[in-house]
Amino acid sequence: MIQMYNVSKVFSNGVEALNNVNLHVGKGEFVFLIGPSGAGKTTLMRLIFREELPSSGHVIVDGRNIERLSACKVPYLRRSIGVVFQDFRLLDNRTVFENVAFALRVTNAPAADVEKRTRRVLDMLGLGHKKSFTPLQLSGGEKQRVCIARAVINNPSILLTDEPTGNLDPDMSLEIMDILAEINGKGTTLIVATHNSQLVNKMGKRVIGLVNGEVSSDRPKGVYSYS
Amino acid sequence: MTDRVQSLRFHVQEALSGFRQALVMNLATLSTVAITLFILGSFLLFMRNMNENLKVLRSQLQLTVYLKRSIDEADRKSLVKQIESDPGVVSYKFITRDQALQSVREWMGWTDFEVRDNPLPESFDLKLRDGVDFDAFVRRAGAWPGVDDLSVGEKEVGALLKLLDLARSVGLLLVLVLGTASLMIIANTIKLTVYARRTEISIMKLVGATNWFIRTPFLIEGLLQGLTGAAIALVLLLSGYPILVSRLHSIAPFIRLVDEAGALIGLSWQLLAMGILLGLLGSLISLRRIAV
Repeated sequence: MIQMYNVSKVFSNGVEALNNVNLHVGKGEFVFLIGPSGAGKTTLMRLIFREELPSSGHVIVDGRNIERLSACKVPYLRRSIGVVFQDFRLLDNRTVFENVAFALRVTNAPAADVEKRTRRVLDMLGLGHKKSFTPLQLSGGEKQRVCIARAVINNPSILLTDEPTGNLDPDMSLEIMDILAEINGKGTTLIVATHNSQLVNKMGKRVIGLVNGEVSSDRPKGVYSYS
Repeated sequence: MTDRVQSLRFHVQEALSGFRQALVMNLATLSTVAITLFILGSFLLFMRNMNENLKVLRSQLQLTVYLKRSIDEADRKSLVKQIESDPGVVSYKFITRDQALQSVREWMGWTDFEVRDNPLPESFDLKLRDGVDFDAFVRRAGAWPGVDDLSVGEKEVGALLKLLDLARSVGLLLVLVLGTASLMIIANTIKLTVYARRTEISIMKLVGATNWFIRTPFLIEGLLQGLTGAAIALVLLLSGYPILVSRLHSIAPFIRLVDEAGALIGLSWQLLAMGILLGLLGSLISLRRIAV
């Protein structure tokens, strides 16, 4: 599903974020991405949904070479990828329902479809009763669930989550992880970048360690260790 | 089709909410556009009226050609031939020196005014064809044999024509400067709206909105600013102009003002089109940067 060949990324200010990364993530896999801050985890994810282009090497997502993708096709790539951030990135002046429906509306989905699918995904994430609230009235865990709802409403084949539990207490972190595992169970390829060692150890999934922009470890059913 | 309508509704709602979010700034932009288009409209009306009056003036064009005192019979005959064959002349009348003196006497009211040696030259009064190129005709007539001078009236018409050309240039410059200013102000307003909504835009990109989908609300916002500005300018012009026409008619009835509906409808279309152009161009300028 995701392949990286000798991928390096050097930013215009000279910072080297990734160095010769080779990576294969299969369809439906659950992968933890760990490493110290600044190791290149976020950059690696941004390459996958083509917010960045590699300085050298190739990134292939679902058979599409992202550096050869024309600008007008980028939106369609992104519709097949859900993204969840630590800082939520919700629109505070819109309701929970509108925040989630937004992702469908921009794809020109028919109104009846938007209504039905938004309701369904909100119910799935236990947010049905909060659909008229604004993000400011929600707890951290609820906000993160709204983000997940927005990320999965287009039925993406890949879900990228960058520190999804970074702002949450341990109980809520576990709850979010269960939700992500459930989504992965339905066939969505899942990448979770995290610093939460307890969760990584508990889930027993594939763990890829990144240090200084290089892959330092890649273990199936691994534990939190990137040395 | 219903998808299109629904999508358009979404874009218009987004545009209106963008307008509300920065209401004061948008109202300032709107006034600038309205003022620019009001001035453009006034200028177009002014030019239209000037041209109309000039046409009337031209149709009444008359020119007096004064002959040299030393002119002989042969020269006079060839001059008459020249006048008769010139396409710019409709009719002519020969004025003898005595007739000239008589008309001066009548004009001054000195019926018993006696002169020992009549200083007035012989002349031809020419009636010119409507629409003749006045300047070219004056140059041509000046070169005819036996012609000493042309009546001074020609200079006044020439000056009027030059004044009209000047007014046209100044007006065009004014409209150009103001148009550019409105364009910049619209672009700036949209740029600030884009900035205020940067989070929304980044999320839109994240979830796979196409560039044109993201741009459309801002284009609609610019279009609304241009159109509303044009509408305000039109209301002011169309309500103010008839008052001006009636006032001016009582003060200076010899000035003819265009007041037929056709001219004003034409003006309305021109201003609305300018408004749309300003709005769309203004927002396009600031939307170039929104890209994947």
